[in-house]
Amino acid sequence: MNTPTTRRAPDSVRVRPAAGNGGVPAPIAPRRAFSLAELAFLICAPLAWAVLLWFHPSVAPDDVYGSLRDQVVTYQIVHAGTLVFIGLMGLALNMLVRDLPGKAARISRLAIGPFVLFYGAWETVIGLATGALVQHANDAPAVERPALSDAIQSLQGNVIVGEFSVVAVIGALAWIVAVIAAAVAYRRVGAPILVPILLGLSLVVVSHPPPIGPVGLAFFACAVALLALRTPAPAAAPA
Amino acid sequence: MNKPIAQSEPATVSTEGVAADRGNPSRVTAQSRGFSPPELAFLIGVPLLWAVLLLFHPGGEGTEIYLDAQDKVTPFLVVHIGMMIFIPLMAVAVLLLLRGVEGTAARVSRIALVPFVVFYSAWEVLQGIGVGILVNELKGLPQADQALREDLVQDFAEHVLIGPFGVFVSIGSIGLIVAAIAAGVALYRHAGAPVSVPVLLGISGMLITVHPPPYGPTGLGLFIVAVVLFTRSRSHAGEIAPPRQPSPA
Repeated sequence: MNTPTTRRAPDSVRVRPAAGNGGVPAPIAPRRAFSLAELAFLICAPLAWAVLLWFHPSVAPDDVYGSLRDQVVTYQIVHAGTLVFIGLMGLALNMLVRDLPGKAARISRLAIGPFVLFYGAWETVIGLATGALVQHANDAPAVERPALSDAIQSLQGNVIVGEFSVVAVIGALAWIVAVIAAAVAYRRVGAPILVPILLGLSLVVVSHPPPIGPVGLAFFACAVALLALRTPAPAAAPA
Repeated sequence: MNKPIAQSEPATVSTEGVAADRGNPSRVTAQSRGFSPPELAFLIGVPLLWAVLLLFHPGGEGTEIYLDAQDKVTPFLVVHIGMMIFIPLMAVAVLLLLRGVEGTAARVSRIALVPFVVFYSAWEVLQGIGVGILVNELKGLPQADQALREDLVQDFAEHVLIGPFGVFVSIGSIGLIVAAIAAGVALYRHAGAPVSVPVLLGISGMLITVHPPPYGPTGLGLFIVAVVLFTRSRSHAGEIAPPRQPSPA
């Protein structure tokens, strides 16, 4: 599906395999370079999401309505944005591994779909649905609020889409598998050791509220930046 | 994203004909690889299975959602959890249909699939799974009286983001309609599809966005017909296409 190509982009940052153990380059097919626009996307998407997540309100698990009633608009904005950023992160990770060879890269690519689908679905319900219900409770007569608060609370414990539900676990596991497999794939093509370490550490993004989510996204952006910076510039072709 | 790959597959459904660009007959587009039997099964099976699933979609006017859904929570959830899977699969089907097809219309279609998958899925998750689970949870809350339950579910389902004409469904539906129409135009202009293919794809996109029966299943049926017509036209083109002359050295 994603055939490695050797397209040459004049303004690109060549991502080439670094020397392997003993200074011998790993014997792999050349990969397509990231253009500057791609590189900007790969770094800016996680950083922009990280900035958004800094505004994620803190939620007490046993009092969701009480935690959110005064911050419901912020909560909804953060989660509407997060919905878009989940898709963008799936795209970013796919760009990162699309031309890498091997089983690990294939596993990473395969895990991106379930991440976007299930983590996005979970985030939609737990973020946007909860926000809509809190908004309704805020507009309801005071006498109804305890019952509405209970309804909001029971949603968090739902086995399908609740806080620790089937959908949440599948989505989170998919991201963890995708980034660890990407880390392994990069290690196998001889990327600097920090790149797979940072990529692997970005698994913590599954717990997206600050500080963990933004830190995980910063790891991801740093891995990409390092990949671009530590890669030797393409040697001039002999005349 | 999906680059034409020059590879021969003996098991394909013979679509190796060269498609002339209708907008510019002198230009010959890149050949799109034929569909293998598993790919064809996917292109037909996904909309067919989705259509069958949608036949079980609980009905209702949408004015008393709690009352309509309270006794049908399980089918409501099963249909909408299934839909969560079928929405991205339909996007993959359209991408597969456009594989190797170049041009602006194909590019527009591929791009429009993104908002369809992201926003239509989000809307579907909230309106389908969210409402189903909310109804289910409210049934287990004795402290919530009937009027409160009905108001909460109705208000939730009519929220500006989630409602039937809300932000998410509007963006998602426009995404699918644009993707379907652009896919049809791309197949017609660059892949030799008959004119019925863009017409059917356009209508199917509009009907699928209104997914409960009869609209959704009908739209998915039209999509299948479009796939069959396109495949047949490509097979026919492959049979009558003159053998390609070797280019002069």
